[in-house]
Amino acid sequence: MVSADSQIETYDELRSHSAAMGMVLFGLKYKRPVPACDRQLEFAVRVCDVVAEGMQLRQATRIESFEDLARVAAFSSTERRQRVNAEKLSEMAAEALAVRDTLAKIRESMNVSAAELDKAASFFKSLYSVT
Amino acid sequence: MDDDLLCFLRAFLTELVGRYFHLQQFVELTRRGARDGTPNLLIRYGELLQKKTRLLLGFSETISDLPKDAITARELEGPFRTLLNESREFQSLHKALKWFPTPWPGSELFQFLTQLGRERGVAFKFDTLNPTAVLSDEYNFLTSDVNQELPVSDSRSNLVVWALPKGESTNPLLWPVLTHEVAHSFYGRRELEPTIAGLLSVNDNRYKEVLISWAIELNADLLAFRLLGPAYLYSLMYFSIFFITSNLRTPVRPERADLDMGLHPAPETRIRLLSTEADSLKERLKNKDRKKEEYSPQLKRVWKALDQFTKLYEARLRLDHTAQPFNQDDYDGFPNQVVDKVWDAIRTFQHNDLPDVDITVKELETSVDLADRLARRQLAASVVPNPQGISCVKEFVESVENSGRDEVLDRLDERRPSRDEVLDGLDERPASMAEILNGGWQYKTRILHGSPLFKVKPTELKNGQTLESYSKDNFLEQSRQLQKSIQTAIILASISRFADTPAGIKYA
Repeated sequence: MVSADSQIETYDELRSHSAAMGMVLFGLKYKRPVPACDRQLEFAVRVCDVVAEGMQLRQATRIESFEDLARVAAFSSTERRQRVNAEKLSEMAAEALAVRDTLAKIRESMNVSAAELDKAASFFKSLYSVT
Repeated sequence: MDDDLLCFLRAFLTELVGRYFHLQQFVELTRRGARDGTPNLLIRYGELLQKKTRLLLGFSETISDLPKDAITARELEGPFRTLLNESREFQSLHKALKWFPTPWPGSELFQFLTQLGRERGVAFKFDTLNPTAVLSDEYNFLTSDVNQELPVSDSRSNLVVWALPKGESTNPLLWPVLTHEVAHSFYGRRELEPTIAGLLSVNDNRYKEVLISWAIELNADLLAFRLLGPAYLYSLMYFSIFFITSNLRTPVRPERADLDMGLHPAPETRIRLLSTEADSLKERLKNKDRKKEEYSPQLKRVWKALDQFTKLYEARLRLDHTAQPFNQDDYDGFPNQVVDKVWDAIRTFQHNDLPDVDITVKELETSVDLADRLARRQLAASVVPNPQGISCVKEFVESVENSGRDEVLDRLDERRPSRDEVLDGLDERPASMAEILNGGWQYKTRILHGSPLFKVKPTELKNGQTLESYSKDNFLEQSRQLQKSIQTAIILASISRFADTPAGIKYA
């Protein structure tokens, strides 16, 4: 369950949560305690939503809700940055779905492999570097 | 080598926590000035700072007791990125201080600079400036230029304003920044443009303005280094590695992009050039006594501390390379290729104009003893340890801190220090500003390598202390101790028998 106040609405939030995941995923991989881990994971899921669905939503003819509109705005702000090209962005949109699954498993205390954690870490690193 | 990365990361976390404590202290000062209770804005802001501090303190457990395979650049890049972002957020929070009333800096800032000017023989230049110092909500002083924003500040007004980040108003270790600003007031474009004019080829001419602004910055760095020695290099490295959030090889642009004149060379360039200056200082000191090629034991410790600190800087460069690679193409054409020539030209110009302002061997050697004294939580105000002797001076400093001027005079009247007490005080050679700051940075280097956050396990804390209260006491105590040392040294300098001895160097 994702709470309403974990919406990602700005480009700064996208960057900030991507950065925060560096410590979180490191802590999870090496089984070290991370403060506010659950909350941060909740935000990270939202970040994945923005990247995975943002591209589709942007092309949609009709935007259903204000939340979706905010998601499109956050996604578009990433796209407008000069450091990312369309191809890289579609790649990341595809990765975001898999990363979202990994995060969901962690939130449900299911086992996650080191490779999955590495993949998630690499996704957030890429996202941080383009924001 | 990889242990250096972890050491850097821990130092980074420690310093961020420390900055939040300093910020909280500043907010507390502001709160005391509020007339009708504490405004909600201050309460909420204070809570936010506390929340941030606790989050960061929690990270100390995340990077404790790590297995060996976790300590590589690839693995530590994630936590590094998180802390870089925290540094950025700290600086944004610092900017929010613009909504709070801002006190003027305490007189100790001026006393520090005036005393430094006297010790280095540049008081004659300093006295003509009549500067104003302000506390700025901008944390990143590397891009700050308060003079550019003041419409009354132009070449005709003789208005000189130096800014210090509000959060650092009580932290003397970052006061060397002001020395860099002083240098800007000594030398501007008028003096430096002709110095580098001959170096510009037709191709370089495209970047003439950039090059001139770089020359102005490098010249200020050089003078600050000559006045304070390694203490300035420490402060520049410290600020760059913990508070510059882009890759250190990136030239720094001011936030207002139209101000191309304010463009600074990359921190990496500045640190590299100052490090070569430190190397040549090292070489000069070695050749001073030709009979033996060795340094004195104290000087060896001076260089060892600087090397240790440089390792932190190098670790940051390595993590930069992994987390946020630098793309040279983005900065194609910046005049990096002529920057060394600019540096040489500036050195020649400055050494001709001000030949005898450099920190001395004696000061560097003494700084080691002062660092030891700071580590023992003693004042580093004089170079002849005589704690009884300085007690009357210390009492005077405390009175100044706690009371208005009239009350101080009354108290002194009541106190009437005995003749012996006064004479003991006079027998001490006041430490110079350069000695104290170099001692302070050496002490700080030790702390960064054995951060209190990682030294004490929560179970070892006594009397209901938390990691938060324990580290807060530690951090603020360091700055207090250093600040008090500077104040006491300045007072001592005005009454000492050795007051006329420049930095007491002739007194062994």
